[in-house]
Amino acid sequence: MISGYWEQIIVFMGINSILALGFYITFSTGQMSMCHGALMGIGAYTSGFLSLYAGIPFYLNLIISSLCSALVGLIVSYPTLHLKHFYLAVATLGFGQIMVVIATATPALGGALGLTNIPYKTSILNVYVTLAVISLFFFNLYKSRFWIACNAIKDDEMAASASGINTALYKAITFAIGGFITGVGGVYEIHYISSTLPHGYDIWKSVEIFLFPLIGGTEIFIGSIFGGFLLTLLPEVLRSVFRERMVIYGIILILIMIFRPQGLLDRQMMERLIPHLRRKNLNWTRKERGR
Amino acid sequence: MGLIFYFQQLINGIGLGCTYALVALGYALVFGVLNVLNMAHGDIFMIGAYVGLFAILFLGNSPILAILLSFTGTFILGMVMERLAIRPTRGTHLAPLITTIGVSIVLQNSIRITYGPEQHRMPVESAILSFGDITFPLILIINLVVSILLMVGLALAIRKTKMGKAIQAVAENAEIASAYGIDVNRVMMTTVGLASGLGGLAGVLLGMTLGSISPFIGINFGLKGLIILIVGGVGNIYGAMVTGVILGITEVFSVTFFSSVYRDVIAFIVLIIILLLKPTGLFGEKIRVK
Amino acid sequence: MFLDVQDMHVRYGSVEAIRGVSFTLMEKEVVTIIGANGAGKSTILKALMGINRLFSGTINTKFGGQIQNLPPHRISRLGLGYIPEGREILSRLTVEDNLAIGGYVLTDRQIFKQRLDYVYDKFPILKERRGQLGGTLSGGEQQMLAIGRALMLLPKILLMDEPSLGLAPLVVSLVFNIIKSFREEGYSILLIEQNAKKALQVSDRGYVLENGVFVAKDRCQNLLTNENIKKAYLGA
Repeated sequence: MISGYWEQIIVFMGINSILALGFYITFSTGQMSMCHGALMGIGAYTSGFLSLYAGIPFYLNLIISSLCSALVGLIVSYPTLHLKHFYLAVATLGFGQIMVVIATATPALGGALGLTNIPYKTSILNVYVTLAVISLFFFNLYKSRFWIACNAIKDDEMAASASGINTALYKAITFAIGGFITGVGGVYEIHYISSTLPHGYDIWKSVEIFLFPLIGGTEIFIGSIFGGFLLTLLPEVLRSVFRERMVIYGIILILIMIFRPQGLLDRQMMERLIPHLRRKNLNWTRKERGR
Repeated sequence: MGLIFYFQQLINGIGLGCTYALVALGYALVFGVLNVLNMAHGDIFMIGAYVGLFAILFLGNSPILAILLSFTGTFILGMVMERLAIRPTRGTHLAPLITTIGVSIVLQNSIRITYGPEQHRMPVESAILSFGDITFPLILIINLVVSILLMVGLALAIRKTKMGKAIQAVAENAEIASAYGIDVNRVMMTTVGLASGLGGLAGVLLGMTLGSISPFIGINFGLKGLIILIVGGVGNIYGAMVTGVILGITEVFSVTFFSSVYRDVIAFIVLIIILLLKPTGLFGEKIRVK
Repeated sequence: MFLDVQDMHVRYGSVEAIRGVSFTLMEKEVVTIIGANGAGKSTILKALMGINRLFSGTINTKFGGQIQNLPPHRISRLGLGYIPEGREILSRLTVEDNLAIGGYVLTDRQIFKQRLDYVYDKFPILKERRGQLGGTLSGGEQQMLAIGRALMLLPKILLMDEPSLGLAPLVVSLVFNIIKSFREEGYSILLIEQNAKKALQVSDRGYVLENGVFVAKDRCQNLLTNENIKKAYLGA
């Protein structure tokens, strides 16, 4: 079987891709959220407590905890709906940090020592099956009107609104869904490494999460998965070669952004590789179907 | 615990506040002129502290030399960063964010590898000044004097000098500034250099005041500086300075009266409140629509 | 020839905005380019100034050689003065600071003072408001500030982009009188205007731009009496 070290890496590749997709859907409406790390933490903590004190099946735990993340995502999105890009980023940053500080300062939540002794429930199988399910969701989403509306909002919110799109609704929904997916990632992670600390879900976690899609490719959801895989593998590959691996990692990030600011994978590339992704004439009305 | 104690705490607070203000200024300058959020700014602050440490350890225990070397070193570092990591990505909104994150990773880990991740003692002037019953460490006074001189000097320079006006012009409308003979690239490089120099200076001053530094001090101060930037009004230099000092005083007094656990929360709570009530910040102008 | 443009092509992404445009400007001449909104008139000026890149084509000047694709700050130093559409004065700087930016490249304080006096002489209202923030001026005053700013370097060619845009009719007349006086003073002017009638009345020659190409070019007195032009642009 796969050795423990590589099993770890593969599991994390999967988890990080899930986290990436959670950020990606929120980002698709133009919301540069800096609190997805905290949303991950909500899922992790909720599921951790449920595992320790409530004897419920793991997958039920998963759903409940992720719904909690979704709810928090919704709550955070509400006051930030009217904020412009930069200010939304900062507001979400603030929310995320406050959640971390609350967790650190509250002994009942584990305080600065966090949670421990969470049962081991995660495996390559359930992580990747979940990833596949989520990917299927994105695949269908990609060809839908919903997605086009999201992109319109990201491009120019005022114009989208003037075209009749309820931008606030889409933004709230994508934040909630993003929260859910990110929560899923959090649940899997804590049930793999068995213990966690509150500051592991701070802004730097959020930064780590948004790097996946931004490096992997923002034009299409596959970029998020690719980014999750790549950025998990890269430090490990470098580990065996360099002592200065993180420095190299940083330089690679810089170079990628200079030469491919849209990320490594783009829509053209993917549509050529996977013809199913190509959007044919969208059938807005029944009448056009005949053409 | 009489009046003297509170006065001393006030001065401590102003000292901390000046550090915050200088860091926030750095963000304000870069964001105002280049429209870029420099995620590496906190780490440049840290580098400034380490340059100072290097100066004190190997070039003689002189605070003045450490300060000068830190400022110069981080100024140059800032210019290099602009040229290599910011300018090539300047068109888009998110790419410079990520390249500066890359720079941050490079800087933090370079120092961590070279010096180790622990705290490093910063040998410091331990002289004490006393005015009657009130005593202050000399280093705190140096900190205050240098910081205030620098902030006042900067404000004046931006208003009165030719380069300062050029910076204002580029900040408001880079295209027009270019059409009138201003080399926008050069102005931007100088601005980032200046902002970085300020940050590095704040770092060395802080290091000398606290007596110890680590490769990770940039994280906390960078984050707080960012918050001050927002609360004070993005790109607003005066707002950044005033808000920084206020935060410093508030934090010191909250540690005095309450527990230190909540010290870091204050900044974030204030941030949320301000953003919900007045998104442009305390002294801000209209939000840029980008 | 003073300014000669040959086969200019300018693209925005993959869209060609200017599709092969050629024109000349003689010394001490006022040439106007008129055309509907979106035809690309501003793009031509911005390309001349180096703000937009040329996809292909050449720009030749008598005083500076070939200048296509030089950066704007070099082109302004060579002698092209730019008065952008919408004034674009620096609202957070004072009137005098705005003029100072115009004269940024002047290193000699004497010359700078001379030029400043020259501008204040032409536009006394600016001298009156020299300490006021640019954003507090009226539309017409801002237009004068924009022009004054361009004059600080005594440019050989003035590029004026829609100087009458958004101004009250009385002020529009004032602006065109200013253009007329510049013409008498001997400036060479390339004028972009939507107000076709007034533009043709104040200029020597005119070009009509439609969808990125010139569809007509002639001396202005001929364009003013041309039936098609009258119908399309002069509201006849």
